[in-house]
Amino acid sequence: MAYSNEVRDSFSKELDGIREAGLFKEERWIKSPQAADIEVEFPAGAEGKKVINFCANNYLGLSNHPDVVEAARIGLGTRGYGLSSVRFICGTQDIHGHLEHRLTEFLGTEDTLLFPSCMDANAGVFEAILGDQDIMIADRLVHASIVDGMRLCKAMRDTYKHSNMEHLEEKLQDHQDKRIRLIITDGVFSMDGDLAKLDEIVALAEKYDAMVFVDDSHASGFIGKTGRGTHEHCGVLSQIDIITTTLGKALGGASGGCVSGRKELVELCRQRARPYLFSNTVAPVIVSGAIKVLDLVSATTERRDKLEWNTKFWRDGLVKMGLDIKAGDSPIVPVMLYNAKLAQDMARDLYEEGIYVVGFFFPVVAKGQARIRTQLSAAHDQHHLEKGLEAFAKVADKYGILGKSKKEIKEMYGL
Amino acid sequence: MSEKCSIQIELPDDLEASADNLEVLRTVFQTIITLSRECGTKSNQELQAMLTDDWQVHCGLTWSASAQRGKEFETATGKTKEEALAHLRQMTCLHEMDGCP
Repeated sequence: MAYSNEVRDSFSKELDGIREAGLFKEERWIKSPQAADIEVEFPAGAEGKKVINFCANNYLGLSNHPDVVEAARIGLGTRGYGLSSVRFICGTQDIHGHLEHRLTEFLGTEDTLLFPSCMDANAGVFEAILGDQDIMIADRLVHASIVDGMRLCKAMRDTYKHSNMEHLEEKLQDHQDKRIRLIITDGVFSMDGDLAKLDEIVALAEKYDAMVFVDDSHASGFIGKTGRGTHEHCGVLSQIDIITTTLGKALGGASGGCVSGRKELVELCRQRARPYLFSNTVAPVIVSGAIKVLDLVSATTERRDKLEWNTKFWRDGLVKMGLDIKAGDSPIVPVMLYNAKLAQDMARDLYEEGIYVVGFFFPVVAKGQARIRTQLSAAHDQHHLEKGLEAFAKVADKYGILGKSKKEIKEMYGL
Repeated sequence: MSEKCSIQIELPDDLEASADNLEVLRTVFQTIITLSRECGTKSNQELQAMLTDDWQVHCGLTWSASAQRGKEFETATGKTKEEALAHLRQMTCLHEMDGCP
Protein backbone atom coordinates (compact mmCIF):
# COMPACT_ATOMS: atom_id res chain seq x y z
CA MET A 1 0.00 0.00 0.00
CA ALA A 2 1.33 3.38 -0.92
CA TYR A 3 1.94 5.76 1.94
CA SER A 4 -0.65 8.15 0.54
CA ASN A 5 -1.61 11.53 1.96
CA GLU A 6 -4.79 9.93 3.25
CA VAL A 7 -2.83 7.30 5.16
CA ARG A 8 -0.39 9.93 6.45
CA ASP A 9 -3.31 12.07 7.66
CA SER A 10 -4.88 9.18 9.52
CA PHE A 11 -1.64 8.53 11.44
CA SER A 12 -1.24 12.24 12.11
CA LYS A 13 -4.72 12.36 13.58
CA GLU A 14 -3.84 9.49 15.89
CA LEU A 15 -0.80 11.41 17.09
CA ASP A 16 -2.95 14.53 17.57
CA GLY A 17 -5.28 12.44 19.70
CA ILE A 18 -2.37 11.35 21.90
CA ARG A 19 -1.30 15.01 22.29
CA GLU A 20 -4.83 16.15 23.09
CA ALA A 21 -5.13 13.46 25.76
CA GLY A 22 -1.95 14.86 27.36
CA LEU A 23 -0.16 11.54 26.82
CA PHE A 24 2.44 12.55 24.26
CA LYS A 25 5.90 11.47 25.39
CA GLU A 26 8.78 13.81 24.68
CA GLU A 27 12.38 12.75 25.00
CA ARG A 28 14.77 14.98 26.90
CA TRP A 29 18.30 14.89 25.61
CA ILE A 30 20.91 14.28 28.29
CA LYS A 31 24.31 15.60 27.32
CA SER A 32 26.32 13.85 30.02
CA PRO A 33 26.75 10.30 31.37
CA GLN A 34 23.99 8.96 33.62
CA ALA A 35 24.66 10.19 37.17
CA ALA A 36 23.21 12.17 40.08
CA ASP A 37 24.22 15.40 38.33
CA ILE A 38 23.31 15.51 34.65
CA GLU A 39 23.02 18.12 31.93
CA VAL A 40 19.73 18.15 30.04
CA GLU A 41 18.70 19.89 26.82
CA PHE A 42 14.97 20.54 27.03
CA PRO A 43 13.13 21.63 25.04
CA ALA A 44 15.16 20.65 21.98
CA GLY A 45 17.61 23.41 21.11
CA ALA A 46 17.57 24.95 24.59
CA GLU A 47 20.81 25.53 26.41
CA GLY A 48 21.93 22.59 28.54
CA LYS A 49 20.63 22.77 32.12
CA LYS A 50 22.38 21.14 35.05
CA VAL A 51 19.91 19.21 37.18
CA ILE A 52 19.91 16.54 39.88
CA ASN A 53 18.43 13.33 38.58
CA PHE A 54 15.71 11.75 40.71
CA CYS A 55 14.07 9.62 38.01
CA ALA A 56 16.70 7.12 36.84
CA ASN A 57 16.79 3.42 37.68
CA ASN A 58 20.48 3.90 38.46
CA TYR A 59 19.91 2.59 41.98
CA LEU A 60 23.50 1.65 42.75
CA GLY A 61 25.08 4.50 40.79
CA LEU A 62 27.00 2.05 38.61
CA SER A 63 25.88 3.33 35.20
CA ASN A 64 29.07 5.36 34.87
CA HIS A 65 31.30 3.76 37.48
CA PRO A 66 34.94 4.02 36.33
CA ASP A 67 35.66 0.31 37.00
CA VAL A 68 32.62 -0.73 34.96
CA VAL A 69 33.52 1.62 32.11
CA GLU A 70 37.09 0.29 32.14
CA ALA A 71 35.91 -3.35 32.13
CA ALA A 72 33.62 -2.55 29.21
CA ARG A 73 36.55 -0.94 27.40
CA ILE A 74 38.68 -4.04 27.95
CA GLY A 75 35.82 -6.24 26.74
CA LEU A 76 35.51 -4.11 23.64
CA GLY A 77 39.24 -4.55 22.98
CA THR A 78 39.45 -8.27 23.65
CA ARG A 79 36.09 -9.57 22.39
CA GLY A 80 35.11 -6.94 19.83
CA TYR A 81 32.05 -4.77 19.26
CA GLY A 82 29.48 -7.27 18.06
CA LEU A 83 28.96 -10.92 17.17
CA SER A 84 26.58 -10.65 14.22
CA SER A 85 24.79 -13.76 15.35
CA VAL A 86 22.21 -15.22 17.65
CA ARG A 87 23.59 -17.15 20.62
CA PHE A 88 23.08 -20.69 19.34
CA ILE A 89 24.71 -20.24 15.93
CA CYS A 90 27.99 -18.40 16.55
CA GLY A 91 27.11 -15.73 19.09
CA THR A 92 28.21 -17.26 22.39
CA GLN A 93 31.58 -16.24 23.79
CA ASP A 94 33.23 -17.52 26.95
CA ILE A 95 32.21 -14.30 28.70
CA HIS A 96 28.51 -14.98 28.08
CA GLY A 97 28.91 -18.27 29.93
CA HIS A 98 30.88 -16.56 32.71
CA LEU A 99 28.22 -13.89 33.19
CA GLU A 100 25.43 -16.47 33.29
CA HIS A 101 27.38 -18.44 35.89
CA ARG A 102 27.95 -15.29 37.97
CA LEU A 103 24.27 -14.33 37.80
CA THR A 104 23.29 -17.84 38.91
CA GLU A 105 25.57 -17.54 41.93
CA PHE A 106 24.38 -14.03 42.76
CA LEU A 107 20.67 -14.79 42.48
CA GLY A 108 21.02 -18.12 44.29
CA THR A 109 19.45 -20.17 41.51
CA GLU A 110 20.42 -23.26 39.47
CA ASP A 111 21.03 -21.78 36.02
CA THR A 112 20.69 -18.56 34.02
CA LEU A 113 20.11 -17.55 30.40
CA LEU A 114 20.84 -14.06 29.06
CA PHE A 115 18.32 -12.19 26.91
CA PRO A 116 18.69 -8.89 25.04
CA SER A 117 16.45 -7.32 27.70
CA CYS A 118 14.18 -8.32 30.57
CA MET A 119 11.29 -7.27 28.35
CA ASP A 120 12.43 -10.05 25.99
CA ALA A 121 12.92 -12.50 28.86
CA ASN A 122 9.35 -11.91 30.01
CA ALA A 123 8.02 -12.10 26.47
CA GLY A 124 9.63 -15.51 25.94
CA VAL A 125 9.65 -17.38 29.21
CA PHE A 126 5.99 -18.38 29.63
CA GLU A 127 5.52 -19.68 26.12
CA ALA A 128 8.71 -21.73 26.47
CA ILE A 129 7.68 -23.61 29.59
CA LEU A 130 3.87 -23.73 29.74
CA GLY A 131 1.20 -25.39 27.62
CA ASP A 132 -2.55 -25.30 27.25
CA GLN A 133 -3.10 -27.57 30.27
CA ASP A 134 -1.43 -25.04 32.58
CA ILE A 135 -2.57 -21.85 34.32
CA MET A 136 -0.77 -18.55 34.88
CA ILE A 137 -2.06 -16.63 37.92
CA ALA A 138 -0.70 -13.09 37.90
CA ASP A 139 -0.84 -10.16 40.29
CA ARG A 140 -2.97 -7.51 38.57
CA LEU A 141 -0.19 -4.92 38.70
CA VAL A 142 2.59 -6.89 37.04
CA HIS A 143 4.82 -5.14 34.53
CA ALA A 144 3.57 -4.62 30.97
CA SER A 145 6.19 -7.03 29.58
CA ILE A 146 4.71 -9.84 31.67
CA VAL A 147 1.24 -9.10 30.30
CA ASP A 148 2.66 -9.35 26.78
CA GLY A 149 4.43 -12.60 27.62
CA MET A 150 1.21 -14.05 29.02
CA ARG A 151 -0.63 -13.11 25.84
CA LEU A 152 1.95 -14.99 23.76
CA CYS A 153 1.53 -18.14 25.84
CA LYS A 154 -1.12 -20.80 25.21
CA ALA A 155 -1.62 -21.52 28.91
CA MET A 156 -4.81 -20.35 30.62
CA ARG A 157 -4.71 -17.00 32.41
CA ASP A 158 -6.06 -15.76 35.68
CA THR A 159 -5.26 -12.84 37.98
CA TYR A 160 -5.45 -11.93 41.65
CA LYS A 161 -6.01 -8.55 43.28
CA HIS A 162 -2.76 -6.71 43.91
CA SER A 163 -0.84 -8.39 46.77
CA ASN A 164 -4.08 -9.90 48.08
CA MET A 165 -3.11 -13.30 49.46
CA GLU A 166 -6.69 -14.36 50.24
CA HIS A 167 -7.62 -13.78 46.63
CA LEU A 168 -4.53 -15.63 45.40
CA GLU A 169 -5.45 -18.58 47.64
CA GLU A 170 -8.98 -18.65 46.18
CA LYS A 171 -7.52 -18.73 42.70
CA LEU A 172 -5.11 -21.52 43.58
CA GLN A 173 -8.03 -23.54 44.97
CA ASP A 174 -10.01 -22.88 41.77
CA HIS A 175 -7.22 -24.22 39.59
CA GLN A 176 -6.27 -27.45 41.33
CA ASP A 177 -7.37 -29.34 38.20
CA LYS A 178 -4.65 -27.78 36.03
CA ARG A 179 -1.37 -29.52 35.21
CA ILE A 180 0.87 -26.67 36.38
CA ARG A 181 -0.02 -23.56 38.37
CA LEU A 182 2.40 -20.65 38.00
CA ILE A 183 2.06 -17.66 40.33
CA ILE A 184 3.43 -14.54 38.63
CA THR A 185 4.49 -11.35 40.40
CA ASP A 186 6.92 -8.46 40.31
CA GLY A 187 9.39 -8.43 43.21
CA VAL A 188 9.18 -4.66 43.61
CA PHE A 189 6.25 -2.97 41.88
CA SER A 190 7.43 -0.04 39.85
CA MET A 191 4.47 2.28 40.45
CA ASP A 192 4.23 2.24 44.23
CA GLY A 193 7.60 0.76 45.11
CA ASP A 194 5.94 -1.87 47.30
CA LEU A 195 7.39 -5.35 47.67
CA ALA A 196 5.63 -8.61 46.84
CA LYS A 197 4.89 -10.77 49.89
CA LEU A 198 7.13 -13.51 48.60
CA ASP A 199 7.25 -15.41 51.88
CA GLU A 200 3.46 -15.75 51.87
CA ILE A 201 3.38 -16.47 48.14
CA VAL A 202 5.94 -19.26 48.53
CA ALA A 203 3.94 -20.73 51.44
CA LEU A 204 0.78 -20.72 49.30
CA ALA A 205 2.70 -22.23 46.40
CA GLU A 206 3.81 -25.09 48.62
CA LYS A 207 0.32 -25.60 50.02
CA TYR A 208 -1.32 -25.68 46.59
CA ASP A 209 1.51 -27.23 44.56
CA ALA A 210 2.30 -24.21 42.42
CA MET A 211 5.46 -22.70 40.96
CA VAL A 212 6.53 -19.09 41.57
CA PHE A 213 7.77 -16.55 39.03
CA VAL A 214 9.25 -13.19 40.08
CA ASP A 215 10.37 -10.26 37.93
CA ASP A 216 12.99 -8.66 40.17
CA SER A 217 14.09 -5.88 37.83
CA HIS A 218 13.52 -3.15 40.44
CA ALA A 219 15.27 -5.17 43.16
CA SER A 220 18.30 -7.07 41.87
CA GLY A 221 21.49 -5.61 43.30
CA PHE A 222 20.06 -3.77 46.31
CA ILE A 223 16.96 -5.33 47.92
CA GLY A 224 17.85 -7.80 50.67
CA LYS A 225 20.79 -7.75 53.08
CA THR A 226 23.31 -8.51 50.35
CA GLY A 227 21.29 -7.10 47.46
CA ARG A 228 20.28 -10.41 45.90
CA GLY A 229 16.70 -9.33 45.56
CA THR A 230 13.20 -9.56 46.94
CA HIS A 231 13.58 -13.29 47.59
CA GLU A 232 16.50 -12.57 49.92
CA HIS A 233 14.55 -9.80 51.67
CA CYS A 234 11.62 -12.17 52.25
CA GLY A 235 13.79 -15.10 53.38
CA VAL A 236 12.93 -17.36 50.44
CA LEU A 237 16.28 -17.44 48.65
CA SER A 238 16.49 -20.56 46.42
CA GLN A 239 12.72 -21.11 46.71
CA ILE A 240 11.70 -19.10 43.65
CA ASP A 241 11.36 -21.28 40.56
CA ILE A 242 11.89 -18.55 37.96
CA ILE A 243 13.41 -15.10 38.36
CA THR A 244 13.67 -12.63 35.51
CA THR A 245 15.71 -9.50 35.96
CA THR A 246 17.53 -6.78 34.08
CA LEU A 247 21.06 -5.52 33.68
CA GLY A 248 19.50 -2.21 32.65
CA LYS A 249 18.77 -0.79 36.08
CA ALA A 250 20.91 -1.26 39.22
CA LEU A 251 23.28 -3.75 37.58
CA GLY A 252 25.08 -1.26 35.36
CA GLY A 253 22.12 0.21 33.53
CA ALA A 254 23.21 -0.64 29.98
CA SER A 255 20.85 -3.30 28.65
CA GLY A 256 20.28 -7.03 28.77
CA GLY A 257 18.20 -9.26 30.98
CA CYS A 258 17.94 -12.87 32.01
CA VAL A 259 15.83 -15.82 33.04
CA SER A 260 17.30 -17.53 36.10
CA GLY A 261 15.92 -20.46 38.05
CA ARG A 262 15.41 -24.21 37.95
CA LYS A 263 17.86 -25.67 35.46
CA GLU A 264 15.26 -27.58 33.43
CA LEU A 265 13.17 -24.43 33.00
CA VAL A 266 16.18 -22.38 31.94
CA GLU A 267 17.17 -25.12 29.51
CA LEU A 268 13.66 -25.08 28.02
CA CYS A 269 14.07 -21.33 27.48
CA ARG A 270 17.41 -22.01 25.75
CA GLN A 271 15.63 -24.44 23.43
CA ARG A 272 12.36 -22.60 22.85
CA ALA A 273 12.22 -18.95 23.95
CA ARG A 274 11.76 -17.04 20.73
CA PRO A 275 13.31 -13.69 21.83
CA TYR A 276 16.45 -15.67 22.74
CA LEU A 277 16.43 -17.78 19.58
CA PHE A 278 15.75 -14.95 17.16
CA SER A 279 17.57 -11.96 18.70
CA ASN A 280 21.22 -11.09 18.53
CA THR A 281 23.48 -12.00 21.40
CA VAL A 282 24.11 -9.44 24.15
CA ALA A 283 27.11 -7.36 23.01
CA PRO A 284 30.51 -8.27 24.52
CA VAL A 285 31.01 -4.74 25.82
CA ILE A 286 27.87 -5.05 27.97
CA VAL A 287 28.70 -8.57 29.13
CA SER A 288 32.19 -7.44 30.24
CA GLY A 289 30.77 -4.45 32.09
CA ALA A 290 28.10 -6.58 33.77
CA ILE A 291 30.68 -9.08 35.06
CA LYS A 292 32.51 -6.16 36.69
CA VAL A 293 29.21 -4.95 38.19
CA LEU A 294 28.74 -8.37 39.81
CA ASP A 295 32.32 -8.21 41.13
CA LEU A 296 31.51 -4.88 42.75
CA VAL A 297 28.15 -5.83 44.27
CA SER A 298 29.47 -9.20 45.48
CA ALA A 299 32.57 -7.71 47.12
CA THR A 300 30.80 -5.18 49.34
CA THR A 301 27.33 -3.97 50.28
CA GLU A 302 28.63 -0.41 50.63
CA ARG A 303 26.59 0.96 47.70
CA ARG A 304 23.47 -0.92 48.65
CA ASP A 305 23.83 0.32 52.23
CA LYS A 306 24.29 3.89 51.03
CA LEU A 307 21.16 3.57 48.91
CA GLU A 308 19.28 2.35 51.97
CA TRP A 309 20.52 5.33 53.99
CA ASN A 310 19.64 7.75 51.17
CA THR A 311 16.17 6.24 50.86
CA LYS A 312 15.48 6.64 54.58
CA PHE A 313 16.81 10.23 54.60
CA TRP A 314 14.67 11.12 51.57
CA ARG A 315 11.51 9.45 52.85
CA ASP A 316 11.90 11.01 56.30
CA GLY A 317 12.52 14.43 54.76
CA LEU A 318 9.41 14.31 52.57
CA VAL A 319 7.21 13.13 55.43
CA LYS A 320 8.59 15.73 57.83
CA MET A 321 7.84 18.55 55.39
CA GLY A 322 4.26 17.31 55.11
CA LEU A 323 4.11 15.55 51.79
CA ASP A 324 2.07 12.42 51.24
CA ILE A 325 4.25 9.51 50.09
CA LYS A 326 3.64 5.81 49.57
CA ALA A 327 4.98 4.07 52.64
CA GLY A 328 7.68 1.44 52.29
CA ASP A 329 11.43 0.89 52.23
CA SER A 330 12.24 0.76 48.52
CA PRO A 331 14.11 3.56 46.72
CA ILE A 332 11.03 4.12 44.57
CA VAL A 333 9.29 6.92 46.48
CA PRO A 334 6.05 8.20 44.94
CA VAL A 335 4.96 11.64 46.11
CA MET A 336 1.18 11.47 45.93
CA LEU A 337 -0.59 14.43 44.33
CA TYR A 338 -3.76 12.69 43.02
CA ASN A 339 -4.46 15.37 40.40
CA ALA A 340 -2.81 14.90 36.98
CA LYS A 341 -2.33 18.60 36.23
CA LEU A 342 -0.87 19.24 39.66
CA ALA A 343 1.64 16.40 39.10
CA GLN A 344 2.63 17.84 35.72
CA ASP A 345 2.86 21.42 36.99
CA MET A 346 4.94 20.49 40.01
CA ALA A 347 7.31 18.34 37.93
CA ARG A 348 7.80 21.29 35.57
CA ASP A 349 8.47 23.71 38.44
CA LEU A 350 10.88 21.27 40.09
CA TYR A 351 12.79 21.07 36.82
CA GLU A 352 13.10 24.85 36.91
CA GLU A 353 14.52 24.45 40.42
CA GLY A 354 17.12 22.00 39.05
CA ILE A 355 15.38 18.78 40.09
CA TYR A 356 14.60 16.26 37.36
CA VAL A 357 11.46 14.26 38.18
CA VAL A 358 8.48 13.08 36.14
CA GLY A 359 4.76 13.20 36.89
CA PHE A 360 2.76 10.02 36.35
CA PHE A 361 -1.00 9.98 35.90
CA PHE A 362 -3.78 7.92 34.29
CA PRO A 363 -3.46 5.63 32.35
CA VAL A 364 0.08 4.99 33.66
CA VAL A 365 -1.38 4.85 37.17
CA ALA A 366 -5.00 4.51 38.29
CA LYS A 367 -7.37 7.46 37.99
CA GLY A 368 -7.02 9.84 40.93
CA GLN A 369 -3.61 8.43 41.83
CA ALA A 370 -1.36 10.95 40.01
CA ARG A 371 2.04 11.31 41.55
CA ILE A 372 5.65 12.29 41.05
CA ARG A 373 7.74 9.15 41.22
CA THR A 374 11.12 9.87 42.77
CA GLN A 375 13.92 7.32 42.67
CA LEU A 376 16.97 7.29 44.86
CA SER A 377 20.48 6.27 43.93
CA ALA A 378 23.70 5.44 45.71
CA ALA A 379 25.16 8.10 43.42
CA HIS A 380 23.27 10.73 45.40
CA ASP A 381 25.23 12.42 48.16
CA GLN A 382 23.56 14.11 51.10
CA HIS A 383 23.82 17.54 49.46
CA HIS A 384 21.83 16.23 46.46
CA LEU A 385 19.08 15.04 48.77
CA GLU A 386 19.05 18.25 50.76
CA LYS A 387 18.76 20.32 47.61
CA GLY A 388 16.00 18.02 46.36
CA LEU A 389 14.04 18.33 49.60
CA GLU A 390 14.49 22.11 49.60
CA ALA A 391 13.08 22.30 46.07
CA PHE A 392 10.15 20.02 46.91
CA ALA A 393 9.34 22.19 49.95
CA LYS A 394 9.42 25.38 47.87
CA VAL A 395 7.29 24.03 45.02
CA ALA A 396 4.82 22.21 47.28
CA ASP A 397 4.40 25.40 49.32
CA LYS A 398 3.64 27.32 46.11
CA TYR A 399 0.76 24.92 45.45
CA GLY A 400 -0.36 25.01 49.07
CA ILE A 401 -0.20 21.26 49.65
CA LEU A 402 2.31 21.04 52.51
CA GLY A 403 0.73 19.21 55.43
CA LYS A 404 -2.44 18.59 53.45
CA SER A 405 -4.18 15.24 53.54
CA LYS A 406 -5.26 13.28 50.48
CA LYS A 407 -8.83 14.51 51.06
CA GLU A 408 -7.71 18.13 51.28
CA ILE A 409 -5.57 17.91 48.13
CA LYS A 410 -8.51 16.37 46.30
CA GLU A 411 -10.78 19.16 47.51
CA MET A 412 -8.28 21.78 46.37
CA TYR A 413 -7.47 20.37 42.95
CA GLY A 414 -10.05 17.69 42.17
CA LEU A 415 -9.13 14.44 40.49
CA MET B 1 -24.10 -8.83 -8.43
CA SER B 2 -27.14 -10.82 -7.31
CA GLU B 3 -29.17 -9.58 -4.38
CA LYS B 4 -28.40 -11.29 -1.07
CA CYS B 5 -31.15 -13.57 0.16
CA SER B 6 -32.03 -13.43 3.85
CA ILE B 7 -34.73 -14.98 5.98
CA GLN B 8 -36.74 -12.87 8.35
CA ILE B 9 -38.81 -14.66 10.97
CA GLU B 10 -41.43 -12.80 12.91
CA LEU B 11 -41.31 -13.68 16.57
CA PRO B 12 -44.55 -13.90 18.56
CA ASP B 13 -45.44 -10.76 20.48
CA ASP B 14 -45.44 -12.55 23.79
CA LEU B 15 -42.00 -14.15 23.26
CA GLU B 16 -39.43 -12.56 25.50
CA ALA B 17 -36.25 -13.42 23.65
CA SER B 18 -33.12 -12.48 25.50
CA ALA B 19 -29.95 -11.36 23.75
CA ASP B 20 -28.58 -14.85 24.40
CA ASN B 21 -31.64 -16.48 22.81
CA LEU B 22 -31.25 -14.34 19.72
CA GLU B 23 -27.53 -15.07 19.53
CA VAL B 24 -28.22 -18.80 19.69
CA LEU B 25 -30.86 -18.52 16.96
CA ARG B 26 -28.49 -16.53 14.77
CA THR B 27 -25.71 -19.04 15.33
CA VAL B 28 -27.94 -22.04 14.60
CA PHE B 29 -29.03 -20.61 11.27
CA GLN B 30 -25.46 -19.56 10.44
CA THR B 31 -24.31 -23.11 11.25
CA ILE B 32 -26.95 -24.70 9.03
CA ILE B 33 -25.94 -22.48 6.16
CA THR B 34 -22.23 -23.04 6.80
CA LEU B 35 -22.60 -26.83 6.87
CA SER B 36 -24.78 -26.93 3.78
CA ARG B 37 -22.66 -24.57 1.72
CA GLU B 38 -19.08 -25.18 2.77
CA CYS B 39 -18.79 -28.99 2.74
CA GLY B 40 -16.28 -30.08 0.17
CA THR B 41 -15.39 -26.59 -0.90
CA LYS B 42 -12.67 -24.16 0.10
CA SER B 43 -12.72 -24.94 3.81
CA ASN B 44 -11.93 -28.56 3.07
CA GLN B 45 -9.00 -27.49 0.94
CA GLU B 46 -7.68 -25.34 3.78
CA LEU B 47 -8.13 -28.22 6.19
CA GLN B 48 -6.41 -30.67 3.86
CA ALA B 49 -3.48 -28.29 3.40
CA MET B 50 -2.92 -28.14 7.16
CA LEU B 51 -3.26 -31.93 7.58
CA THR B 52 -0.71 -32.40 4.82
CA ASP B 53 1.63 -30.15 6.82
CA ASP B 54 1.20 -32.48 9.84
CA TRP B 55 -1.07 -30.11 11.82
CA GLN B 56 -3.65 -31.73 14.06
CA VAL B 57 -6.69 -29.56 13.46
CA HIS B 58 -9.80 -29.07 15.54
CA CYS B 59 -12.48 -26.75 14.25
CA GLY B 60 -15.74 -26.36 16.14
CA LEU B 61 -18.30 -23.98 17.48
CA THR B 62 -17.46 -22.06 20.62
CA TRP B 63 -18.34 -18.93 22.51
CA SER B 64 -16.19 -16.00 21.69
CA ALA B 65 -16.03 -12.79 23.68
CA SER B 66 -14.17 -9.56 23.00
CA ALA B 67 -13.71 -6.30 24.85
CA GLN B 68 -12.49 -2.97 23.56
CA ARG B 69 -11.59 0.22 25.40
CA GLY B 70 -9.92 2.79 23.19
CA LYS B 71 -6.89 1.08 21.67
CA GLU B 72 -6.97 -1.79 24.15
CA PHE B 73 -8.51 -4.96 22.78
CA GLU B 74 -8.80 -8.44 24.22
CA THR B 75 -10.53 -11.58 22.98
CA ALA B 76 -11.25 -14.92 24.61
CA THR B 77 -13.09 -18.12 23.76
CA GLY B 78 -14.76 -20.76 25.88
CA LYS B 79 -16.93 -23.85 25.73
CA THR B 80 -19.59 -21.85 27.56
CA LYS B 81 -20.45 -18.17 27.61
CA GLU B 82 -19.45 -18.08 31.27
CA GLU B 83 -16.04 -19.54 30.48
CA ALA B 84 -15.40 -17.13 27.61
CA LEU B 85 -16.36 -14.12 29.70
CA ALA B 86 -14.32 -15.35 32.66
CA HIS B 87 -11.21 -15.64 30.47
CA LEU B 88 -11.92 -12.24 28.96
CA ARG B 89 -12.35 -10.65 32.38
CA GLN B 90 -8.97 -11.91 33.53
CA MET B 91 -7.23 -10.33 30.55
CA THR B 92 -9.02 -7.01 31.05
CA CYS B 93 -7.93 -7.07 34.70
CA LEU B 94 -4.35 -6.78 33.48
CA HIS B 95 -5.27 -3.41 31.95
CA GLU B 96 -6.07 -1.72 35.26
CA MET B 97 -3.37 0.72 34.26
CA ASP B 98 -0.44 0.92 31.88
CA GLY B 99 2.12 0.92 34.66
CA CYS B 100 5.53 2.54 34.92
CA PRO B 101 8.59 1.23 33.12
